[in-house]
Amino acid sequence: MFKNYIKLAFKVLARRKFFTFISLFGISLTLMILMTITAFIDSELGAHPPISDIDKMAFINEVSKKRIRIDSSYTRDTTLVNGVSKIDSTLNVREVNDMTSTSSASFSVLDKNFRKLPYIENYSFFSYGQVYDVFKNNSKFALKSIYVDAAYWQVFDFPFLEGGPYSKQSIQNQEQIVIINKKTKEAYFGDLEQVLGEEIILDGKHYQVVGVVDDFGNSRPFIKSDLYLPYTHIPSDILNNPDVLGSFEAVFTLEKSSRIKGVKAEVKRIIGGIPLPADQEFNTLEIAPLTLSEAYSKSLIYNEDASKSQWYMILILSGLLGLFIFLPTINLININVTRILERSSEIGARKAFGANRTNLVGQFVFENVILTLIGGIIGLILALILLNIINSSEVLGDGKLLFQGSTFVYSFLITMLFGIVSGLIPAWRMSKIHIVNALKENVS
Amino acid sequence: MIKHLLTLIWNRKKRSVLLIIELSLAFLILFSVFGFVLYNMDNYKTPLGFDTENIWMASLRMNSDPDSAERVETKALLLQSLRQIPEISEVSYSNPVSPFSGSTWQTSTIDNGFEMDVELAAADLNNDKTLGLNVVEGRWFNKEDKSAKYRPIVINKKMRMAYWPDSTAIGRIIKLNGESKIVGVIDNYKYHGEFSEEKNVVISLFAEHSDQNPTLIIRLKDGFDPTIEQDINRIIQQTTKGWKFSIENLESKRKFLNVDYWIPMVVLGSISGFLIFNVALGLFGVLVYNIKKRRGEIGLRRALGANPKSISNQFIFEILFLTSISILIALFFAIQFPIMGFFDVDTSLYIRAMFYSALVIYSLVLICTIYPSIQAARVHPATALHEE
Repeated sequence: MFKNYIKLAFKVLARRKFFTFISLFGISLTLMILMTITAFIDSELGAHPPISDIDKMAFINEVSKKRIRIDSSYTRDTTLVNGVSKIDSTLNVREVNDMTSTSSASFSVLDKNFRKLPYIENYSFFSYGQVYDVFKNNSKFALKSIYVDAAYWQVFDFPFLEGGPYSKQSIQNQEQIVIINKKTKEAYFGDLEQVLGEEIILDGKHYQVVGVVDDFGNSRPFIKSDLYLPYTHIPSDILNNPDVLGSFEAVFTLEKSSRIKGVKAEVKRIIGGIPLPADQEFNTLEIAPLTLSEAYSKSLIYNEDASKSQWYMILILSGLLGLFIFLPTINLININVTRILERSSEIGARKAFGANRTNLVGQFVFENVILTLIGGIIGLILALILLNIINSSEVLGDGKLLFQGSTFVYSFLITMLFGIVSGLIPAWRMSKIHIVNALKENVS
Repeated sequence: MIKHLLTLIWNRKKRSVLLIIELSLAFLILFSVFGFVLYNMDNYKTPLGFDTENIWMASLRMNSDPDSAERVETKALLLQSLRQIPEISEVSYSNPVSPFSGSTWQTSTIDNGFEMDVELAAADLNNDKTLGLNVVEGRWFNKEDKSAKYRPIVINKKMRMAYWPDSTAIGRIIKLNGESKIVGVIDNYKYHGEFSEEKNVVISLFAEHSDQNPTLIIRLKDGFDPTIEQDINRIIQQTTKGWKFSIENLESKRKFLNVDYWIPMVVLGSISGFLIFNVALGLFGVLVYNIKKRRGEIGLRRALGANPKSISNQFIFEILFLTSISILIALFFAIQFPIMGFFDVDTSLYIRAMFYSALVIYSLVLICTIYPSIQAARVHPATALHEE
């Protein structure tokens, strides 16, 4: 029976080549785009090295100081009531935020207040450094740097090609050491195979290479860097600067991802006790630990409350995705209705010989699933080609899109669903037609 | 005649529902993509207002040394030593709010009940020549400005047109961090990048003794040797003794910033292009089939004296009528954007986006109808009726 269905499906597909082409075109390109988008989201926000623990991470990447004052305004309305003018006045009192300064945190505010948060397994403070211009063989490289502490290498599981992380001891001793990425190694040292112990000259100072990290897909700035330097190389007056704003950010690994609420509440409690610099007019401090997806959404859709940003982001994304899948589905239904109508005499014949509704619907849905499967395979091949093109053209900078099995499975399930749905509706309509009408091809 | 055609369409309403939903959705998708692309391209079309070719920039981070006299000296010395290099035609300083730096300094002020939202920048005496700014009214800063009674400022044309459209702006004194006097108007100054919106910009004189980190702007002569960068790097290092900096090429930074705008436009454009093409193919397939199904009807009309032209016109009219209904439905949703004011953009942008979307949909539908309607016109009444 099954073999018959398959045979029949291929026969039907081959008979109306144009319709088959339209269906396959729609299915495969939809799937290709779906897979590319999921691959992109997965590379940016998925749990892969160096952020394998991403579900348990919380970040402090923004500190705001605000001036909030009470503003009272007096509104007077004059109205004419029965020929006499009447004055109606209202007093509005509200809180106004008329000055805000936002930046990363200073080292001192993190150091003094956030070293003993509850529910935390590990944490690291780091700071984006300058871009170093390095000249080698008459060409220039601009190398991004980041200043990190020893715990940074425990919080993030970097894939090391050579050497390894530096220790707390060597950071405290302000050793002139650096960890570089693969790209920097190739650019600076050329074909040299082992670069451990070699030196890199940055602004006239010599740094010894103690580790090389491999490339990875994620482009988040707190892990993507060319040079990883010990934070103790930052001048002490910057580290000791009493202001709350600075260039540092913090990352925390929570015991469990559900602990984020507790950490947020604790941070809120702590900032109540942090004194603001007296010489400035700011009176309110805002620091909120965010998950990566909250921080990511906030950078795209700004809202003071990051969880709202995330919520908007999910709404917009799923709305777009829904619209994107909906249109090809309607198209497919439209085509399928037409296709099935063409086969009314076949349906009439089968009905006349005793096939019931379930049989007929089952057959059409099965045919449609076969078509979706073929389209899915073409889509997969196209997606792999597209990802390859994107990665080799470097339009995304160093970021590489990964292709995961899960990406394929999710997209495939979605396409399958749309194959079944788009087959079910027309099949149901067709199976209702009376035998006599079907045989006469009088179906409109 | 029209009434008759409408009856025909009405009789097939159930079949047409899917088509109408499809075309409405396609219109809405096109509308949003056109809106997005037109917004960006409108911004892109206004000139930057400064040159990017042959210009290098380095934002210097000064030592936290409290001795400001020494800093002033170092800054002057750096300009002097760079001017010695024959390849360099001009050098100047600005504050950190410099072209493509990503920094902004916004302020709003109320002057005589006049609310002004402006973005502030600061630059020195040579900045106009280094960046190639175009002064359209008044003048750029000069040496006398350093000791002028009122703080001199140069504004951009957008701001001049926004606040003094009918009178001159030159010589006006406005309250902006103290009393400031407008001495000149420059053409454009889109310092956030080519795709950014032009804002009201006020440029003040960047004082030599300012505590702000300076941005060094270097203009090179045509056809310079790129390896000169290494010398410039060395000179900055030696003169400043440990200030942090990185030299950037303004032209490559411009291109780099633009990529962030091109990528979403290209991605959205190709995705919607694919969707629309998909819809067009489906439409074509369904139309071809419909006409085959309606051979009996066509044959009858032909037998009763309709000429081939009126047959194909009937089909074209039918499909255009359905398209118009779809577009009207979609317009109902699209029109909510300007009415509710979801985005802070000009209403004309929405109208243009609607116009282009309608144009694309109508032309696609027409293209898809031509072949099937010719097929229909070719139907021979005798064969068609015989089949029936």
